[in-house]
Amino acid sequence: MWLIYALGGGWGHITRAVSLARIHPARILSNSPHAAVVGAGLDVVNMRTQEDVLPAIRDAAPDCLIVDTFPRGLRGELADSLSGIPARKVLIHRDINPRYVATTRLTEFVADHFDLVLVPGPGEGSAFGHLSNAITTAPWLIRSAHELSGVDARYIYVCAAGKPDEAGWYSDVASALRAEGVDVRDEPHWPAVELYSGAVAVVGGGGYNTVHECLAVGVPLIARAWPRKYDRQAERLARAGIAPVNTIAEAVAAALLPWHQPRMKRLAPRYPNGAVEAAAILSNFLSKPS
Amino acid sequence: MNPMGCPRRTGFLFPHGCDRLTSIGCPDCQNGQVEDPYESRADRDGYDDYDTYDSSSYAGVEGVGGAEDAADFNEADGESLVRPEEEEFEDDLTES
Repeated sequence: MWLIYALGGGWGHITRAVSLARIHPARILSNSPHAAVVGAGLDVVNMRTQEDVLPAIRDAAPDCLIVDTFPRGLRGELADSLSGIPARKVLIHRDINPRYVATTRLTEFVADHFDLVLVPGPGEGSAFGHLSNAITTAPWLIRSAHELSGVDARYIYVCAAGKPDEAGWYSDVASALRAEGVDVRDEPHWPAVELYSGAVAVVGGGGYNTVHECLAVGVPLIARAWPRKYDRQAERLARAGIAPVNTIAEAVAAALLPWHQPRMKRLAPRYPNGAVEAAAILSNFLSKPS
Repeated sequence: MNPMGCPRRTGFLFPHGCDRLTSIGCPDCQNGQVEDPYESRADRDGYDDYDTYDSSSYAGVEGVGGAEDAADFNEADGESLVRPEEEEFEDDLTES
């Protein structure tokens, strides 16, 4: 069994895990409030506290333990136990705060405890991507290109996929755009990428899913870099060549530019899904003796 | 503070936590003999004129040169460049 440790707030960790589990069967450990939606129909086990994690791993007895983003566990609960778990260990290395890496000497920990490091997208591997057992794939996306179709872009989608206290900013941006006569959609929709291909532009944050999905679909992203303890949204946006906005006025001004430009029919997106590539890499890796 | 490292303060201009795991062989605390290497540094002695700039040297620069000018650097500016000691990790299951 493949077991994916996907604890962490928001949509990113659970969505990345589900992206892989859609390609290859896996059990997912999650504490995301969105797990019921994102993981519907899949083997997702809810973790209420960090004390639930180690029993869940023992219960699963996985051949392969895949840890998303946090090598020591989100509360450090894996740090003392990882070496005793009889499974191949794989780290999904999304970008991570270098101060956290330094204070916990995480690079040495990863080198000592993980058999393989998968970097889910160029630029995400800032901390451990240089290790000899690290492989970078294309971004892991919840929908492959063949699952999306080309449509005429006709609205601006405001995607409030952040923390609850950030929703007000998005709501204000949507209201301001409507006041400018823009056709705005801001209803919650999962997966949001299904609405991106019909969008003239997306207003969102600088998180993993939003940025990589917009790049894949080819839709302009007007993004605010929200502060996170571990993720570095500003750096991800910079790598994507996107200048972040901060104020509502900046977001509206940036969104009106593509809105007023002549529109061409958007072709069906064509992009590689790194989750497919990662599943193949993992299958090949696990077929070889350790 | 680095939870895995030495708790002593090091640095030249601004204090920060030491990244060493042990005081053995450390030139800053001299094998653990110096309790506060930042405070104890003696090589700042050559810089003793910070408080005696002649205000005439700011001629033509508006708003600069007064005894308590807002443009003066002060202790708080130094603190803003110090690695945040209160930053903690692995303390919240809802973070990402």
